[in-house]
Amino acid sequence: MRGSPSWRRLAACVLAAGTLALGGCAAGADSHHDPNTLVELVRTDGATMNPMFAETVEDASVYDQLLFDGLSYVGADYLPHPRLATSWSASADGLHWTVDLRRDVRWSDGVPFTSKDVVFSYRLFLDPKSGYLDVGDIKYINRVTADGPYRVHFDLAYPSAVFTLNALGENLVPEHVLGKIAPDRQRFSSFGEHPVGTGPYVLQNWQHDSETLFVRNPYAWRRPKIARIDVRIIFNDQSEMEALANGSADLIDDLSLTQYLQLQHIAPQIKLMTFASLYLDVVEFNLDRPGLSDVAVRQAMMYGYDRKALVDGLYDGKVAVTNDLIVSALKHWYDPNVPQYPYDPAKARAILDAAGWKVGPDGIRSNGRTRLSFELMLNQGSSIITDEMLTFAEDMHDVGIDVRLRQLDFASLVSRSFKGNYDMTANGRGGAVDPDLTTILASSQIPPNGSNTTHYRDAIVDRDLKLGLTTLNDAKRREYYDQMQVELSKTLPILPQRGRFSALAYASRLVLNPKTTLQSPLLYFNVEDWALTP
Amino acid sequence: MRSLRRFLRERSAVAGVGFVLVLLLAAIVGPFLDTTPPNMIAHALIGQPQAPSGVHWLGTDLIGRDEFTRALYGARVSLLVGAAAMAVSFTIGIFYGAIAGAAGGIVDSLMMRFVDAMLSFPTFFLLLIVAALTNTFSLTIIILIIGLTSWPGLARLVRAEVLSLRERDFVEAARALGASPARLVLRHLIPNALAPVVVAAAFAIGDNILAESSLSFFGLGVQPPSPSWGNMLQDALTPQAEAAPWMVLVPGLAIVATVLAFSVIADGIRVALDTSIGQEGTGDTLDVEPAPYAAAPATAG
Amino acid sequence: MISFIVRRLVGAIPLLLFISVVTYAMMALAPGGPAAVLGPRGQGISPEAMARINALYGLDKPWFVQYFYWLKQLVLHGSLGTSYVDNRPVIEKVFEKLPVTIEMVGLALLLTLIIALPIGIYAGAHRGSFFDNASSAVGFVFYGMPVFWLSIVLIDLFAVQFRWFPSSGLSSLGREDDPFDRLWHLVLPVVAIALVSFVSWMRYQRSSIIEAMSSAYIRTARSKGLSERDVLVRHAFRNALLPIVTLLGLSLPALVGGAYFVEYVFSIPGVGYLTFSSIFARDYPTLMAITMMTAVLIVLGNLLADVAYAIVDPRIRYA
Repeated sequence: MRGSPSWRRLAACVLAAGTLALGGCAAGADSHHDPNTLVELVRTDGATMNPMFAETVEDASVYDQLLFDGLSYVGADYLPHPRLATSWSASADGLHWTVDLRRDVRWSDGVPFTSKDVVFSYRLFLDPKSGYLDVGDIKYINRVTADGPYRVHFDLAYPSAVFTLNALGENLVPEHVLGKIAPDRQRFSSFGEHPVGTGPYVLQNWQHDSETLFVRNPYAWRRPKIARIDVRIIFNDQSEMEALANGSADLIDDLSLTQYLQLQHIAPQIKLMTFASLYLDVVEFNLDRPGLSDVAVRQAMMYGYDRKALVDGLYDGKVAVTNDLIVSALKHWYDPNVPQYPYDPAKARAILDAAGWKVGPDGIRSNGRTRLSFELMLNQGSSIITDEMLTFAEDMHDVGIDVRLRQLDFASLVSRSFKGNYDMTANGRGGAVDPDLTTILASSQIPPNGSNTTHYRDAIVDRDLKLGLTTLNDAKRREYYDQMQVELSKTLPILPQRGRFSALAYASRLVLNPKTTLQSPLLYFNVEDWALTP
Repeated sequence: MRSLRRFLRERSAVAGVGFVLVLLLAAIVGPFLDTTPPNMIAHALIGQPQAPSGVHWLGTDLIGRDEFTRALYGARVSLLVGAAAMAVSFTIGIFYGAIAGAAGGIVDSLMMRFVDAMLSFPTFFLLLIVAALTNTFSLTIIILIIGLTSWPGLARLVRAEVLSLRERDFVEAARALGASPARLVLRHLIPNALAPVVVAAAFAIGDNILAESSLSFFGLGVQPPSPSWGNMLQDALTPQAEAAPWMVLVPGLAIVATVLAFSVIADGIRVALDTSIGQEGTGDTLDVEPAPYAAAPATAG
Repeated sequence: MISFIVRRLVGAIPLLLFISVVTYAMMALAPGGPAAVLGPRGQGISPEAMARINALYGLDKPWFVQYFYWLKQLVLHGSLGTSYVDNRPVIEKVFEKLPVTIEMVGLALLLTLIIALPIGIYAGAHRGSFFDNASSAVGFVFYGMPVFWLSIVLIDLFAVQFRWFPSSGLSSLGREDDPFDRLWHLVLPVVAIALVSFVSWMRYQRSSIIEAMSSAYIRTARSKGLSERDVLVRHAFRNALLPIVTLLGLSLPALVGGAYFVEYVFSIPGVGYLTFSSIFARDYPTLMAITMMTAVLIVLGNLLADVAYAIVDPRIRYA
């Protein structure tokens, strides 16, 4: 036992005992309260600070956004805005872009940022030998050339509506540091442990799986108000909450639902913010499998699945059932008028009967050649998802479809998805702020050419995806995506279930404006504006 | 036989046998008497685990399934996997160990090297790979996996027994009479080495039950919705489990009780067989103890 | 004796080679490689990126070629390679985590011995007594608990309900260098490990005391008129320590292999945790390093156990 608590603490403990066992009782933990340090808690550590190889959620969402900049960034309206660029313009055919750069930017070692860095970065990213991970976002760039120290030209293979959002959003790396390293050695350089960027912070100290300390970049052009950010790894939900509750930490940016529900009872020194999530959980079909290739079967599955009961029971109603692959957070693109699929098992049975799937003696339907019996693979390690899928399987059984569960580790799941060696899989989708879904839905993207693991082939959706991607006019794009959503809703290559839960919790001394705060992973886009009240 | 009487004098061992018999009976007959389907999800109860009551004797889990019924079905899995995996590992282990011990020399050396190699692999990794590789994941696969990863320890045990027995009088006598090596192994060495093996067998069933529960807990064993005491514990790490302790206690105590029962049975057998093989001294020298007879008894997992 | 040791060590080399080959082959067989789990959104990366990563690490070559490169790197450069996950030297990653696991398992071993030895000796000296039966029964009860379950129960009881100990991790915020804080965090995991494993040690100890007390030379001592206590202390002890010494040697690998279920449930960043995450990330170099380290320790542990056995028991001689 730690030293004896003061009487006041003891009284506070007794009070807090009436709530969900939280409160400032964690014996001995004091507030690590340097007024100039923001303490943030995350659950896993990042793998590398090199933005080219950002592999984990931590790398990409926290570290890279603190250390690096791209030519553009995603603003509070989910649209791209200039960051290292001052302005950009496209030629009439959309194939040539000219980007003007800021002139007041320096790297964290003092060297000025110029077009040389831009050209170097993109050429390196495009080089197959570098192993750059986000190559999908930029592969249609044919050429990058400098035009003086503060202007860059891009030549594209085809016009792209997401060029400014994705391609220009790539974090840039310094030519004077990485230029000496051969492309195939980039992944092994020490840049991942000693990064040099233009972002508001620099890395001071990294204790893997424990703590990472960032301090203000002395040459930052976006000068942050908060001098230091201390990111701590705490593996466990409960400990995270305790640290926040007793004042030793200031921010948890990816709150789980149970943490949220428990923190609601804490005194007003903890603030909570919820968001419509950018992610949704889905069930995906392998459309080449007999039985699943019949759209009637898939529609019946949608009607026969009581998603609302799960949302109410397991998620306390805090997430929403969804029928779209484009999430409601993207107000610009979201269309609430797509065909809905309310829970209606009678209708599901009717659809199946009409399509010739007759119930057999074992309760499972068959059309004489194929039996509706499938294996659903899911990630081991999440009991909530397992319980959801179990309920799904039960619901399916009620309408005459047999679904067997198979838990696998993530690498096996991905591998089998890409090899087409599966019937159905539980998956998460979303995360993008643009409605373009080419990589997962276009027929040209069926593996090994892309990530269309459902093997979806639909002429209307192909056309809408192509037009939506290559048209630069937002209003026209909206039309294409509306049509696409209707078609997706009718053909159901993917069964949308519900949005994920997205919330963050922070101490009241951290000043965050709800109107200009984006959810994780985009949270840090305006970190230089955050402040800690004394 | 004298051994049987000695066994019956060990009260805890007899209690253990009683427990196992009751469990066996419950596992076989129970599912026919208990009409609640073990996998039936009660939509109204999703997210609200029910405490034990007249309707649900041991409560419900996170999606409204009856814990008592699931525990009953889980007993089937545990007993089946425990015994069958033991049969697999023992068949292999006994022959392997006996041959190595009887052969001696280079052959023995090589064979034991291989055993050492088998014991060096991180078992969990092995299990993960096999689990991921198999397309249809059945109880048979699980039994094979557990059986095939536990035979090396037993082989070592048998070999040690055989080595010590080799020098004994009756073996000399048999050899003097011209018994062939095969006959020696089959007719003389194996039966006499069997005493500690039988004890180890009883402990092994307990170990296998523990192994299966660990696998299933990680999602790499019995697949949901089929109940297994191990996969019933998957919900134990959720925060809801703190308010619903029966979700943690029911499957856990079932495992503890069953493994305990097999452990005391094994101990009882040990005491019973010990003096009857004519060892000098006052018994209790049968050096077989609970441990997943792998290299490190101190390794908890 | 020396030649025996040398022979064993030399003979271990083909064994280690064999283990390394089979381990690599098994890993390569597992579906999905390291590229499959990459991707900042946890959703995987594009096939192009995957192909690039595979080419970079030579993962598109057949497994025995990959293995050969690994072996070459080890033998010629003494290097265990770099991790596929963060490209840091594997040695660094493992040695970072090693002290934590050694500390935890070491303390658990210590606690186990503290519990098991006295109980085992007393139980053995008073065979058939109530204490003897009760201690075995209690031991078996704990033995029957899956260690991950016991860990969860300990957390729910002592960390969440009574709040006497922290529920996870190695240190409290701001107290990373405080050894007492660290010990406080290790109490529950160490207790969990000790509880499930003490029964083996206790019973080995017990049976060896029994055997020692009844053996011929003890009878001689007794007949010479020595007191029971003297008999116990002077003669039985030495022999009785034999299995413990053996078991300690055999427990050496556990110090590295680690108790990964305990580390998983308590979120303790040790070697076991690293093994888990490396398996899921298909980080072959790290896994190979951990496997080989464990294998080496098993060889050394066996050797130590045999040598110690010979030292303690003068009747044993190795040719």
